[in-house]
Amino acid sequence: MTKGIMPSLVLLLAVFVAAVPWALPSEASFILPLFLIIFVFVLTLQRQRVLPSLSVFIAGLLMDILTAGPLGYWAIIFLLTHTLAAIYSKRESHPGFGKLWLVFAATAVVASFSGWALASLYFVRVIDWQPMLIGSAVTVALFPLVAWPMRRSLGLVPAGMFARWG
Amino acid sequence: MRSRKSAIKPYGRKKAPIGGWLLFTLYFVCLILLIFSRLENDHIRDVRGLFADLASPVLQAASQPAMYARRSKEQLVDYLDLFHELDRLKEENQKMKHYQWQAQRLERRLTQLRALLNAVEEPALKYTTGHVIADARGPFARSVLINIGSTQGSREGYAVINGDGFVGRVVHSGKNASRAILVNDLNSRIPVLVGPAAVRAVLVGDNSANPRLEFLPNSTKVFEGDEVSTSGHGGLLPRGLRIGLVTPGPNKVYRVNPHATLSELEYVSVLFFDSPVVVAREAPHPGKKQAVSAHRETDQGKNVQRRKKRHAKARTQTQAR
Repeated sequence: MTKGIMPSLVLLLAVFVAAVPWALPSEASFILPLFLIIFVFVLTLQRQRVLPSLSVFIAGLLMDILTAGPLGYWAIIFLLTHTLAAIYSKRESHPGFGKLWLVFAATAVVASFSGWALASLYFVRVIDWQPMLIGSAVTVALFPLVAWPMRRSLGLVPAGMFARWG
Repeated sequence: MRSRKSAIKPYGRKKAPIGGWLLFTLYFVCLILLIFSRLENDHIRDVRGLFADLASPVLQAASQPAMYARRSKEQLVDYLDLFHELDRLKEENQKMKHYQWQAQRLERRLTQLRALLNAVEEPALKYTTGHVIADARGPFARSVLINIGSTQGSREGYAVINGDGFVGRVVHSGKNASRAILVNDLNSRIPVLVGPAAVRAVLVGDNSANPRLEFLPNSTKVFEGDEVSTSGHGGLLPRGLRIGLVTPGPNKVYRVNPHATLSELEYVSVLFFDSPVVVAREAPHPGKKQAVSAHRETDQGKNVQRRKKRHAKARTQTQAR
């Protein structure tokens, strides 16, 4: 249980950093919340899978509270990312970075599409999909920026995972 | 001696369950919360306000690096564009001198006219200034969390402005922080006056950068570049707070380009504009509640007595006849 404290704190800190005003244009409103799914994905893929689902849920709820959205929206997206990452970690032992990036891209697309569908259902109308697409493309592009330093500073990713390019 | 390969812990965790009942329960709770949020449940609103208030000190600390980063970026842009900016400011200064002279002349004339009419002096608007500590992201809201709470005098319904004009209004006021929805939020409806003819309309937010004008009278003409300001109708907001300029949108819809850059708000002020509508709508204070109910009871009692007296009088008159 205590093993999960550090990654949970990292995730909560990331939520606070994502919520503060960074003066991004309104078209880029999805970038920062979707950026957090990189943290959820990488922290779930760590040794012994110490990131508890409850922490992911709480981080999502906190994001909902700070971004004034309906409670449960980001929590569902984060939990979905967490579930997909957990399923992948059970199937694959030592993937190369390229493959891991590709899997994250697929996860980000699924999470973004779910977010768009959920928001459309919530408003009972088809909402603009472009900000979601921009958000997921930027998130996929920024994946190495988070994944690489996290391995070194926190030891969150197993040594074998990045052995080919580290 | 163990080999390097064997030292690496196996990554596949076939024994560990993916989530089981806990994960299923969490998904279920999320769905329930989403439904309650859609139904605009009061408890959800209160809990959200409470947690946002509790998180405000952390957000305030976390927003400092973001503010420094923004200022550094602005300074860098200013530095790179220094000579162009200097020329622009010189030109603007000339215009401002002319406007200053005009404003002073108009102010003198206004004072004279007010004196002639014996008009009642309008009370000066008081305000307090704070900074944005969190802004809303995602598909749902265009709002900001500001570090001005009820202890600083903020209350639901108060107008929020910055140096460029009106930006939104307070929708929830906690002890240390307030949530304000911006003019482009999906739930924002602001009665406005458009252009020099002061045509009445409603500014409706749709989460896009430029809110649209609705309920414009059919016969009136609105032109690109017309100034849009708050009308004060309904008594919620003060009259004359400038919002932005009319810009033509697709499908013959007029939109408004706000003077303030809504996605880059830093410092904002809350105007303490007390309106009878807001006071009546708000839930009374527990102490006041008793006083109000006591008054009501007294009033009701008096009314019953008056009615009895009237009935008795009518009865006597009928008997006399």
